[in-house]
Amino acid sequence: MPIARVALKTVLPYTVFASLWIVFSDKALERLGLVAEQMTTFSIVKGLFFVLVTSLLLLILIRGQLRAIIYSEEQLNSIISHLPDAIVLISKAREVIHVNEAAKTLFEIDSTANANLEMTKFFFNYCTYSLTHPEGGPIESAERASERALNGEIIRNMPSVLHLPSGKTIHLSVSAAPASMQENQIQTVALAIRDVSELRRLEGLRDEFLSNAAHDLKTPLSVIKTNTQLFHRLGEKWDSTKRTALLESTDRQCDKLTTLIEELLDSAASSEGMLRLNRSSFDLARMIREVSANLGAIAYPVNISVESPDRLEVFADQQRIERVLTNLLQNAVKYSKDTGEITVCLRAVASQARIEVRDTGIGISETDKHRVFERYFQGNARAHRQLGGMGLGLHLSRQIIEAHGGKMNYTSQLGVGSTFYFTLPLGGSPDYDNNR
Amino acid sequence: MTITADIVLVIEDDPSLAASMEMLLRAAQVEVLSAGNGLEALQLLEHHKPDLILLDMKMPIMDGWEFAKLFYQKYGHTIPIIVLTAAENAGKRAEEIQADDFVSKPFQIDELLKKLSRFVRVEIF
Repeated sequence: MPIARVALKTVLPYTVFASLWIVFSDKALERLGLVAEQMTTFSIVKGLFFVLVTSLLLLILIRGQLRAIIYSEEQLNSIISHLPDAIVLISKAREVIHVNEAAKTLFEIDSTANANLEMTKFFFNYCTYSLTHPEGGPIESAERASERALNGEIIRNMPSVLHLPSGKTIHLSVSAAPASMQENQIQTVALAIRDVSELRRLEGLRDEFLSNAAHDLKTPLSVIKTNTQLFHRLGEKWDSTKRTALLESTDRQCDKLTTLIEELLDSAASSEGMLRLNRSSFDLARMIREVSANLGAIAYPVNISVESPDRLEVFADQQRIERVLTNLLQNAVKYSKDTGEITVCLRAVASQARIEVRDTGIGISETDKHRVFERYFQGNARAHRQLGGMGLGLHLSRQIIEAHGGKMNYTSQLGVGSTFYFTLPLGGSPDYDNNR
Repeated sequence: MTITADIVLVIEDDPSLAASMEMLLRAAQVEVLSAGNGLEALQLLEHHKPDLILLDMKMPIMDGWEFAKLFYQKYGHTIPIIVLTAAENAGKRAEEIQADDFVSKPFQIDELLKKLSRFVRVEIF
């Protein structure tokens, strides 16, 4: 019982002081040996003095307690106002009596206006017709977390979707509980509302990634399965050229599957910072010429040209760098228009090799710009599958380059083209930790 | 008297799978037309009238959904469509575009031929 304890703490010193005064003040007067008239005057002075001292004492005691109460309220307010979740306090009269900063920001409430009044209007008028279940359909008044909390329920993480007046749609997770009671009646309820839009977006990307990954793994698998069944049924009737062609095609599909699985494993390892590089010295100029020639053969009518010195030695993970290059070039082809020109440019700058892949493709829109290197991100959904891909390419490429101590970035102009570039440390450095 | 073979239009973006499908269908004595996406298929349909369409769903340029929409708009349900997809829930995909049947990738040759035989003459090999 904190109230009884606080009251006792205030009253007890007063009681002790008053009792001691009563007991000892009369004894002190007796000791003075005063005559009757003097005694009356002294008694009046003593009484007045008693009132004065005890009043002062009470003032000090009450002030101390009030200060403690105000301090703890300020502390609570400061915590609430700085919480990242939106906090809304609602009275049983369905009025908002407190909102924190996060709530004003989340619900786009004008902070210069009377926030409680604005929030009441927003919460009890606007939200009535703009709050929906995640799977669609409006949330009826009685279903709302605030109403259920006013009926004594404790709500944890109720999902809902809110369409804001600005046109923005946010996914919310709402928790609510009764906050204060009087005579067994709930007076106020507190709502903690969390914006889970980003989480939902990432979950969506992950689901899409899983579905794309399954699809991409099944495609080479379908070829392998069809080919083996065909071989089983018809192989004996075919000549050796046809048999060899079918087996070679099957073999290429196995390689495709292996690459997809390696990408998946690398992606998992890189997200835990566990990418293990297998470095050796090799000629990057030659690799660029080979990768460009291989892709150039199937990229028609897009043209790929190379600007590079004859040789440029780097100390890096050959297989993975080849994958990064292939990925950048595939993207350049994928997002090229029919008359596209792709230029791969290799230079030595200071102690680094700098590789640029320039295209004259569709470019990257402003909305996509900050997401390009995001895991699972797919630029243009319609272009997806043209050359395969699970949305891991650029994310993984950057992780691979960074694990080598290099940097990867890009510049792009919508409708004009994009340039992706990365750097790698030059030459063979045997001192370099092989397993960074 | 020679009986002309039925024609199947294969709409599939993966060139290796398209090649294997073609081999399979030829072995079943079916004539094959190939398109790498929905748009190519619509162009082919201006000059050819296949007896059946085998349709992949996820393709570049024009996917299976858009192809089906445009195809029904122009030709109605004149040619049966069998959806051939690696996506999960192939049946639902087929329902979405009002296709006549579906086959999930990877598939058994016998299962594919059995479904094909509902619409075209195939020789089980």
